Amino acid sequence: MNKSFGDYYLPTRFQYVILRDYFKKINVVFNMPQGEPVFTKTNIRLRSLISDLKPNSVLILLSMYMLPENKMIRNEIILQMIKKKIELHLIFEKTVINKRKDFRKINDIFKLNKFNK
Amino acid sequence: MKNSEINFFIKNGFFKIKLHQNNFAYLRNKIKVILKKELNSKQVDLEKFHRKIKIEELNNLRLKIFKKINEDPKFKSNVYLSAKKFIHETVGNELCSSDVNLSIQLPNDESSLLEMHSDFFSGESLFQVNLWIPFVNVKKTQSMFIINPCDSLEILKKIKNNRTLKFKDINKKFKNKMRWINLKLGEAILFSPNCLHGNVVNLEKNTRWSMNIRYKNIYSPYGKQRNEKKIGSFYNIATPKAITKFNLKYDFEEIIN
Repeated sequence: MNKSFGDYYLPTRFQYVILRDYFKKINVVFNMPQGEPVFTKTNIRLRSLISDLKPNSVLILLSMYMLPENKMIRNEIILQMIKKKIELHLIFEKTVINKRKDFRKINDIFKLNKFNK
Repeated sequence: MKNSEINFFIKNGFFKIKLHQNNFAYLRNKIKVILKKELNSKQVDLEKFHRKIKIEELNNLRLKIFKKINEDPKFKSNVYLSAKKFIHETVGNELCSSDVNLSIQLPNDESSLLEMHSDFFSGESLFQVNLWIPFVNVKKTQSMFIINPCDSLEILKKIKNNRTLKFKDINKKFKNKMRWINLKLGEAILFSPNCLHGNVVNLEKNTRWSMNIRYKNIYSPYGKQRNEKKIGSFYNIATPKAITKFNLKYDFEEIIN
């Protein structure tokens, strides 16, 4: 991600360092990911990635705030992940999500953050 | 550059060049020397490299070579000298440049793909040019593709506004717009990375070795995004001219600001 996500901004090369380290810990080969285009909020890269994932795959994000801010797009993505039984790893939040109810909690947190803005 | 070459670049987003022979030989030889050392081998054949390595080991090796070529000031200087007059014609002669990126694409390897993109996807400047140098003969899927500016813009508008579109749909729909760059050893292209470009799975028999580097004028606009794609962090000062050096030495700008 080449722009801020939530309250974070981290240059991509350091995002790769964290991701590479995490991949090593869970014993998976790390391949350089491509980021979202900075000029749009349609999350085309994430939507494309999830659409290409096989059922029961693992998706690793640095933070839950890399998920779309737009609720409609976010819900579509979450629904896809639930349907495909994708296990979502959120590194900053130290969370692994693989249950429907936990996916729903993501929306709650986005909403709570909105209350405090 | 002739007017016809400039017009070709404007219409197609790239142009082919012949690299200065000695500089290109230095670059290719340097890669081979590093590779021989890493593989502990007396001979290396870049095109048949896929016979020597497993896909899982590829990225680590690539990163090691990447580090070594970027630590060698002679490497970067030979890259520049190999295409100097063409770089000057496209972005001027007071330059900053990115790191040198290295790409190794084994036949049938799905893990090293660089999907269709523009470099400004990540907030890089619209005013840079990308020098792409292959270290083997390249053709078809062993090479890279580029989409001309008009078609790129059409696709980019869809990417910007469509909330359901996926890259898979774009690749399928615009496959016939991808122009594959066939190059012989010692040839390269300079292209505007604003145009959509990328690669697909290498379905040819040989491994592709290539490098790329961005050049931009120190004083042309940087990306508007608040990120690190700026001078000092992403772009390094390469060829500052006398008046820039003069003003870096003396703080005249503090008087007027």
